[in-house]
Amino acid sequence: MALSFYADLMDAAYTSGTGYKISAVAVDANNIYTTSSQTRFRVYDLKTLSNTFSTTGNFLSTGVPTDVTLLTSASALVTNPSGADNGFKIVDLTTGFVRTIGLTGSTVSRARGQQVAYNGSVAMIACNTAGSVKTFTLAGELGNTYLPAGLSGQTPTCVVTKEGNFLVGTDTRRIHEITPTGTIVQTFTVPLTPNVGTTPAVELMGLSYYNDLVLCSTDSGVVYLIKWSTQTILDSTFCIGSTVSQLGFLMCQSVSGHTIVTTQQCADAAQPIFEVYFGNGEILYEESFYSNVNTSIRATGISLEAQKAWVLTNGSAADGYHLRMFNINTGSVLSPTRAQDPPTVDVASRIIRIRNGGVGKASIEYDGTVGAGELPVPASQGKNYIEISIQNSKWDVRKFRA
Amino acid sequence: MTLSFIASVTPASFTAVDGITHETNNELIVVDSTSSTLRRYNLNTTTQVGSNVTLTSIPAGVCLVDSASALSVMRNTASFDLVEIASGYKQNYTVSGGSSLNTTKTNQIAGDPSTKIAMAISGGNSTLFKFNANTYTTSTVVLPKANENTNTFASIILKESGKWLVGGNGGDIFEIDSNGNVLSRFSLGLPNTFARSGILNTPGSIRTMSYDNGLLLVVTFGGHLFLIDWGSKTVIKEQVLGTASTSIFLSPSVSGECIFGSQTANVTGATVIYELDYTVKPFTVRDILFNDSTAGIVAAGVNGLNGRGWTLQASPTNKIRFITMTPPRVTTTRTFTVNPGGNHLKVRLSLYDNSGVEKKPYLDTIMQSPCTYRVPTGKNILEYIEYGEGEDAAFDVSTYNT
Repeated sequence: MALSFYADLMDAAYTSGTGYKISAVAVDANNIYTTSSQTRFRVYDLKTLSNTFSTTGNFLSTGVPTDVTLLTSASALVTNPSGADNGFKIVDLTTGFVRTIGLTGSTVSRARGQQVAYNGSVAMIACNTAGSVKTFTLAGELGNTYLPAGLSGQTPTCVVTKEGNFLVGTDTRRIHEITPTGTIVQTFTVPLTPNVGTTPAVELMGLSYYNDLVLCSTDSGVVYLIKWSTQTILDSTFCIGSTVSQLGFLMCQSVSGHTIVTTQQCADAAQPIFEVYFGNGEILYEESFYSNVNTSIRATGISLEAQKAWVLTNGSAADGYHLRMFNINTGSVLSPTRAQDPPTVDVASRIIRIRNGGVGKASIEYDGTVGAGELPVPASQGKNYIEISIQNSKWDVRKFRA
Repeated sequence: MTLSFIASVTPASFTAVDGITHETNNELIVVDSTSSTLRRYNLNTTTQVGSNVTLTSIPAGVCLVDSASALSVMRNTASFDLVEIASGYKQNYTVSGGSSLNTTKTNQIAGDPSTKIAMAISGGNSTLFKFNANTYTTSTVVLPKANENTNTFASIILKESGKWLVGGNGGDIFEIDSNGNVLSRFSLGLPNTFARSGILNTPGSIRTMSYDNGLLLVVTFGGHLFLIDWGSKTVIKEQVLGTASTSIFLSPSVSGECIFGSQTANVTGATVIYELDYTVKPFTVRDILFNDSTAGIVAAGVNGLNGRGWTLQASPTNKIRFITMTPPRVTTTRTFTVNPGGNHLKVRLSLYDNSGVEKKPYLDTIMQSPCTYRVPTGKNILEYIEYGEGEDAAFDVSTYNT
């Protein structure tokens, strides 16, 4: 991806007196869908940022919604942070009509993002009930609770999609691949060795999945990149956890191997937001933004449809925003290459293509032998590349943007 | 390399403040704040050597000023305690006109056994304490401010014999000689910073540093990690660690790696110390050692001769944990020169794995020719050099074995 700042957005009802804030967000190609701590569902035009719709009256009796998940172009699932209101809500995006669905008596697990994941037909919810996951199937609007044996005693803490299935992180350092009907397919246990003789509890903070690669963060501050099919750790990095309110990295579902990563809170004036690429099987920090938020971040997100990324905060008036949005340039393109020696004469050559995010932000993306003639090679749209051609003792270099 | 836990000791009446490794003696020399003592521990047997040495007052840090003497700077009085290691004989030296230090952080004193000079942070504006073990005299050294953000200094390390690196409280770093002459300076800034009015484009105070062969690793009090090519004064990598409350420490370099952890206890999950490579394929986490929950680690070090190391845990219980970092890392140093026409240039230097296995570069920096860096041994390297822009850009590509 290539990140650039797009816009800041406050809740439409925010004043220093009310203190209302955006509590959850989803984005499509035209609109920004939010819930507010005023317990309203609001829609903003993506281009003008004007508030085009707002429900009236509270649609929850208590609590502040924590997730908005787009189900179709006409409906969204809003999570209920408190069991007192008997279940989760479906919002009609055209009329704003809100109704309850039958997932009663449970709350989401954590007051941060990645509590709901939707695979296009089934939404899985990380509920605050040990040993269980809940699903909502759009067809027939069916709610289900599953208690797979392998989840016993573990509370789900985050969830993302993995092709048709789901990856669920728990508060006991496990990541389970679970089918939409609640069957555990595979489990990875985050290691706690070597250690000094104790095995404290470790919780999964965030997950991101792409092409058999799972990026995960824990409340110990360790971040792992796992090859899921072989259950091997390919790479690791760090974000030191601190107090309860400042734990580990938040991240979002990946787009083409990219994710947005940030800490929950940075007491210093400069809040870091990173674009991380892990599609190569190594963790690569590609872009960084530092902004003046001295407050907590509750979620990050990427919308491929809208070509936008964002962070959602508990911002104050001094911060100036609740939602900070970025333009992204995602997608894979075919960028052809060829070697000629002398000019106009195609030759076979070794081609090394380096994705070039700048000094310290580069990695080899392609290294192979190209036959004489043009060869299309996949590249990330909008990315800068350095390409080296080596044939026997000769070499050449070109730089380009895919 | 691999971290392993060997043993723990819980000294009586002890709160760890700082430690230093005496490589020849294979000992940890540690100072504490409960009893104001200096103690020695054998890194193989993990047992105390000799008796406690009672210091003049609470220490702020300890270093070696020659092979036979340890030097501790006091926390609340402007003075040093010089301790003959073998006998435990102690002598106090007052710094006339000095303003005392009052901090519990590491990196407050740095000694050069080759010249028998030590420098220490003081409480005075732009002022360091100096101890000369050749003449047994003390003095103050006043440095100029780099900018209005720097008033006092926060950390100091020995860069090489006769030279120190001093970190200021506004993101400034000075390289000085034993006379306090400023040889070079650098003001750390945050890239890609955008903010509302009132934000300072500064990462904050320099909390801790580690230096190895042209590369300086810096952590700010805001919890941001920066890797700086000191020769070219370029930030080549950055990453977030945590928050200001986590108070990260870095150990001195061991073959281009360091141990880092958090002084502030993690209230949930396991506290972790990392073996971090910041010179070959930075920032690669080579290994992780899990401590107790809620452990606060204040310092760590490793004997580069045999891989025996230590960590100082100050909470919830005061412990010295003995570890190993093995096998000894196999690297060498290599000097790179780019001087067409006899003019040394500033170039982008990138070293990749020419076998195609590792994607991220071993080194990717802006180098001021000539410069010496650490490189892995037994590797087939693809070296890429670039300088200039646009039509004036020039490149060089070569491959070789290390």
